[in-house]
Amino acid sequence: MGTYIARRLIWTPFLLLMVTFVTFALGRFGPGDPVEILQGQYSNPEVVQRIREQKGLDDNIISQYGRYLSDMSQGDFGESFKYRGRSVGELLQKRMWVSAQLASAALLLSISLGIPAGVFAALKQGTWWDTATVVTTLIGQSMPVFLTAPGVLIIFALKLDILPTHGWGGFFDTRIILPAMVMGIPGVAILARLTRASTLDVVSQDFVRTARAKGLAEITVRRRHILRNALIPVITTLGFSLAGLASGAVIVEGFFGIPGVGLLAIESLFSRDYPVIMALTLLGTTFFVLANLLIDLTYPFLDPRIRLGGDYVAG
Amino acid sequence: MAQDRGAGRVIIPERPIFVLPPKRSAMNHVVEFFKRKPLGAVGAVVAVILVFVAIFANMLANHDPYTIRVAEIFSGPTSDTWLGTDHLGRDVYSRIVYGARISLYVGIMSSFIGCTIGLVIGVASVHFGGLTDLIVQRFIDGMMAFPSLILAIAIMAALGASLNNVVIALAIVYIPSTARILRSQSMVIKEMDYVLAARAVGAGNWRIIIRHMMPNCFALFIVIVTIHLGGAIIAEASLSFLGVGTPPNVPSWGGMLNGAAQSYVKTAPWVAIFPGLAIVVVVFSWNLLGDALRDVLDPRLRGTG
Repeated sequence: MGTYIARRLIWTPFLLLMVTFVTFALGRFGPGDPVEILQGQYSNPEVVQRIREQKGLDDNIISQYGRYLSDMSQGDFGESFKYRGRSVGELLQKRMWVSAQLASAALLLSISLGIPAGVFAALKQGTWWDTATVVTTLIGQSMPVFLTAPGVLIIFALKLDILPTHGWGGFFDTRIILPAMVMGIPGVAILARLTRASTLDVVSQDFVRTARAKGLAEITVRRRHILRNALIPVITTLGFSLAGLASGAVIVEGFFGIPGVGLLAIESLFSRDYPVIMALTLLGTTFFVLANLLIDLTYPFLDPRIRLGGDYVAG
Repeated sequence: MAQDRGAGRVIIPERPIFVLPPKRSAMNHVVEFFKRKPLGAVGAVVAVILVFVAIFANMLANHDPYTIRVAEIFSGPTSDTWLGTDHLGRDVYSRIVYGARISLYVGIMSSFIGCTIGLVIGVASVHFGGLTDLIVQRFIDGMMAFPSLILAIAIMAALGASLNNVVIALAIVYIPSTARILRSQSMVIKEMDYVLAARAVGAGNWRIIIRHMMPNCFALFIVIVTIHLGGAIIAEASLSFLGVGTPPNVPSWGGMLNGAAQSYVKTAPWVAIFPGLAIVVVVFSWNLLGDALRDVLDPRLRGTG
């Protein structure tokens, strides 16, 4: 177990190095110049040149990247181009916390609705309930976030007038409900479908028949034998749902006026705010890698037959 | 060799050893599919209608989707403009009909190109194995670490808004996951006797990859393309909705929901409702079809959602 974690973690710095370098190179070689965008249409070429020199944007890319890495290793992520005078760390800190809360709320909703719905559909396989669940979840998966967002706004804020539409007040505030709902719906659909499929695979296994044959109560069979085994592929996909949540956040945060990283990501991409883009990439990748490692580590608890270690298994 | 005829002689038995099942026509397969998967059939029908609408858009539309008519801004549905007009007086119905072209073009091209590249990478990575596999898979890890929509937005920000750039951006997004899935399939195929046989008769690396390994991934490939297609339609709509996809004058379903459609949703709901409905119905149908195809062609994939 220890060696397994070590092995996985050894890769992380290389992965991060690769991802940051690609992002760095894309930014520098891609069209668009942060200083020109910042100075606007009537920029003075001399001023632009001076700022470029100040920021070291004209040096060769390798030395720029080297400088970035050495600053970063000291915890300095640079200063935002767009929000002048503000360090990236300061800019991100609050927003990350906001986005993390929103994403957790959405994930909580997806898990608490999606998994029971999937198990329910699988246990009622072939009945009208099953078809209804399958169709509903498929509709949920087919609804783009930018349609569900105005949809729930119209229903809950405009017509029923029971929930606030805009703003942010933390995890325990009614203003989190609608955005979390919008971000959570695709997750509910995906998790329900997956859980249904994997539960169906498990219920026909021999060990389930054995468990029933030896006279275990139905509830025990379902909880200890069916659900536990059915959850393994579901948990694997949770890692990817996290990435999906980040995509949803970009649109949802804009709709509901939530000061999170999603909005900042788009803003920084369009203003070519390199330091912010780099920091976000770095953060996102680290988070994704660690989340997937954490997910891998839960397998042995669900199924003792799974032993981590041995050959390195990708993904 | 001439004397030694007995050893290599083919013995033809009087009765055939295998009885082949009666050959079934393509039509039989279609009927079978419709019977077994009624929901999938519904999806297939809508998909066919979408293709039909996309091909004959110029005949089905009763107005030019680009013509701006200032006098008819936000007019409701009438007998002439069936689904009303938008903030520039353009006919919503005609724009939706032409939008089918955009959606289908982006959907098919991006998922097909992305999945094909993913297929080649996945299969080649397994075939060459060792260090190549290791490096390629770390690269895929890196690509997967980016949330898909953000990756697409980043690529669009670098390339600039245009229809073909949307195709490129989305194709890139679909490479890593396809490569991953097909890699695991290829690991099974690699151990098959026919691959060994091909190598024994002296087939080169790329001949084995292209002629032997890739065709055996084909069923899975089709399923993945179909599944991604619905996602690609949503992704194109999302990009255009955010204003980084197709240019604003192009009639894209997502683009039609952007800007003015949102601001005036209370006074002119038809501008937003109909394109929104088009997206949901089409993507839902593709997903139904994809689900059914997956169950029929490769039931093992049920978990890949």
